[in-house]
Amino acid sequence: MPKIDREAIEPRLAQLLYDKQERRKLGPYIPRTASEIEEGLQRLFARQGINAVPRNVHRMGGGASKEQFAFDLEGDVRPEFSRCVLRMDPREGIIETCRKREAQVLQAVYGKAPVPPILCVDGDGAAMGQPAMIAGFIGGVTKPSAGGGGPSGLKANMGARVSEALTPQFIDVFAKVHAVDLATARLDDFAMPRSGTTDAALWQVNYWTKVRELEETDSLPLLTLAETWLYDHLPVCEQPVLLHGDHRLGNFLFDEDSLEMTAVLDWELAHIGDFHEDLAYDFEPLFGSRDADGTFLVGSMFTTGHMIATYEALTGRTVDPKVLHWYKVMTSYKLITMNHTSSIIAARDGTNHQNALLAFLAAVTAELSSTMCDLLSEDMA
Amino acid sequence: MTPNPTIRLASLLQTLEHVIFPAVDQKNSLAQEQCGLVLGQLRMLIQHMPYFGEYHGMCFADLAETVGQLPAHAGGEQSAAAAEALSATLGEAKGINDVLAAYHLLGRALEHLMRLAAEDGEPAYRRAVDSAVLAFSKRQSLRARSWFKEAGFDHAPETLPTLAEMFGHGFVNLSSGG
Repeated sequence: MPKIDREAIEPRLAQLLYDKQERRKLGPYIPRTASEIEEGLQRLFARQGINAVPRNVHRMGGGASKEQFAFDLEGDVRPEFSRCVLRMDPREGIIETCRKREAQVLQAVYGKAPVPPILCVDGDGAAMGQPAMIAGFIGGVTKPSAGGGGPSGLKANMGARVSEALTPQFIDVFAKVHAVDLATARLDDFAMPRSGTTDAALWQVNYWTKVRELEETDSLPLLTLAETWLYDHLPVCEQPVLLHGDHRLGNFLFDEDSLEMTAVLDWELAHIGDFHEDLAYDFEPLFGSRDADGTFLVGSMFTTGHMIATYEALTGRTVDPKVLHWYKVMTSYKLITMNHTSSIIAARDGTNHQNALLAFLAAVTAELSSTMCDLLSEDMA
Repeated sequence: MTPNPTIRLASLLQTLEHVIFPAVDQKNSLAQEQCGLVLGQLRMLIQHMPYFGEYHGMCFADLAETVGQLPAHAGGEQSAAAAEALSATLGEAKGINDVLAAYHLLGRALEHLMRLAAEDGEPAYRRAVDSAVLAFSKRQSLRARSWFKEAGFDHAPETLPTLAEMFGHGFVNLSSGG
């Protein structure tokens, strides 16, 4: 059996992780004020030759990983940028991601799926102080006004009317993203796993294991059990595709009147990999709910069987239950790792704008661990 | 000894909830969200306060018992060294007063063994270690879900014991594999 290369990680992602270790030495992070952001925007626009002035800068709610500000833009810009959103890295967060990559993938899917247009990127934070990206503002809600639910759009009740309208759009977007032509997509900061190899799977285990190596403060033997299992069962990916990486309830907007999906958001975990990975992520119990009969509903809207059948019909691909199972374990591994490591470190060191949220979210490890135990039990029984 | 920490925390909670938070700018969405999180976390802490020692003790006792009952090592040199180190760590951890620190010390030694057993452990030995870890993890997950039930993430909170039941009434399924 060939030796596994446990250092094989996308170069850009590895660099981000190591840069973060250095940045941590700067100490706690104080959330930016609206006036500080306005000054930064003026610097950024001047550097990038954008002849426009930001007005009415104000912080947006939510955002466990990025600071977000909305503002109006007056000047020489296209109509879709008359109102914009600044998406900026805090010093540290629950995940470490790249604004340049996020902008590249948004530009790659623009026109194919409902996503915001990109105005500009401050990839190294030279103007804003932290890496940032500016996109056109798109209206909509993440859940029905009366849908309840918890942080980050979790546990919302979508209701029959909304579910019926959004289900085909949700799956259709999924298929369209996976159909992006990687040869022409200009994803310069992304690495491409080799077709017909285990690269796609290996890079994922390696990346999240590296996060643990660098940022784990507490012991969690269950994670190491999953780690060794994942390395033992790496699946081959025949044809890598563009993945959203965080495709779930809470990460898309829709118009509450027309029930049209207006935007798919939060592309920061996008990468190239196995299509089963996005499916498995959607099937994580935390991102759905159960109906009165106890049947799991993806995004609190539809069954896993419906998702698989519709996806197969739209794409011509066949879902392999074994590969899907592997990526379910991988999803658990990824989610527990981010909550169990980076989230706790940022909360401990005060390096995020939402330290209280990160400390609170760490409690979700208990629920995620239950799912991982169930998944591993299927294989180890 | 007085006032006890629970009373001190409860007084903070009441002041924040009824005096300070209502004065926070309603238009400041970040500040408003943080108020809700602070209240939720403080309420959980107040619930946890009487039980911290017992909770950590229960988790450590189960981990120590799990490690103590692992089968004799079978396999190559790397996992043999890790198994020996784990035995030594078990003895060391039992002598540490800070039970939370002892738990993580012992857990890390167990994780080291798991990784090396995957490299050169006999398949049957590795299966036994992994099975013991999975069984422990199921109990630990149930304990943690009960501990964090009020955070609102659980899929079946109604099936979980209260903290008083978990510690005060000998909820044996959570305490060990026995």
